[in-house]
Amino acid sequence: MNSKKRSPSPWDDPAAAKWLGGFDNWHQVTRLIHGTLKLDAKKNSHEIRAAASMVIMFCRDNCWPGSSPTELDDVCELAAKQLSTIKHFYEAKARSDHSLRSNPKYRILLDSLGQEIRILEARITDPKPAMPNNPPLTWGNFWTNDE
Amino acid sequence: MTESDPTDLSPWAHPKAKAWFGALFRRTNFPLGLENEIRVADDQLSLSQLRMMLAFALLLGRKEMWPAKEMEVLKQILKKTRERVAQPPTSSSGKPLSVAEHQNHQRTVDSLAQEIELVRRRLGSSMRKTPMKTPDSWGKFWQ
Repeated sequence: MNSKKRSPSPWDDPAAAKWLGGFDNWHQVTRLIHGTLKLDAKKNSHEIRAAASMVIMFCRDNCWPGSSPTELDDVCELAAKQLSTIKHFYEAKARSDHSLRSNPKYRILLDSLGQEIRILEARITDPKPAMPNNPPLTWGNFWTNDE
Repeated sequence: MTESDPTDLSPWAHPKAKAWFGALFRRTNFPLGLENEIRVADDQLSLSQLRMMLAFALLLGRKEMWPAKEMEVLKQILKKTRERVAQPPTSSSGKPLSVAEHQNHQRTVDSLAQEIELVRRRLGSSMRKTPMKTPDSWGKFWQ
C-alpha cells in the first residue's frame, strides 16, 4: 500500500461529482452567481466581488456545472474582467481623494483585488503559471476564521 | 472600500455583500436542498457525498455568508459525517470490501479528519487555536 497516496479533493471524487451534477439547488446557486457577474460593476461592486469570491472557491472541474470545458473559463474570465473594472474604479477614486490615497487599508484592498484577478486569470491560462498557495490579502485566516 | 466596517475588507464583509449572500441562499433554497440530501437513508448517502457537503460547510459556513437560522443544517452535516466516519466501511454490493476499497476508504477517512476539525472550528465547536492550512487533499486550492 502506498501510504502517501491521498484521496482526491472532495469535488474530484467521482461519486461526489456525480451527486453535485444532479443537485439542482447547487446549479441554481451557480446560475445566480453568473447572473450577478453580468451586472454593472461600478454600481454593484460589493455584490460582484462577493460573486467572484464564489467563483474563486468553486469554479473548478467537477464542481461547477458546465457542459463544455470553455464554460468554466468563460465564468472565470467574466469574474476577472469585472474585478478589473472595480479595481480601476477604486484606483480612480483614490487618485481624486487624498484621504483614500494615503489610507494603507485602501492600498491593501487594491492589492487584494489584484490577487483575486490574478487567481482567476491563472485558472484560464495554459500552461498554468506558478502561483502562491495563499488566500488573497483581505481574506483573513481563511480556513479557520480564528482571530 | 467598506463604509461600515473598514477593518474587514474581505469580499463577504460589506453589508451589501452579506445581503447578496442572504439572497443567494434564500432564492436558491440551497440550505433546504442540503437538508433534504442529508435526510435520505444512510445507505443512499455515500461518504463521498457527505465529504462534499462538509466542504460546502467549510467554505460557506461563515456568519457573513450562511443564514444564521440555517446554521443547524451545517451542524447536521458535521454530525452525520462524524457518525459515518466512526462506522466500519460497507460495500454497496453486499460483498466484503477488497483491499483496494479498504485503502480508499482509509484515505478518505484520513482526509476527513482534517476537514472535520476545520468545520468544527468554523462552526465554533472546537476550542483549538493552532493554525491550520489548506486541507492536504485539496491540492493547490488557490491555483
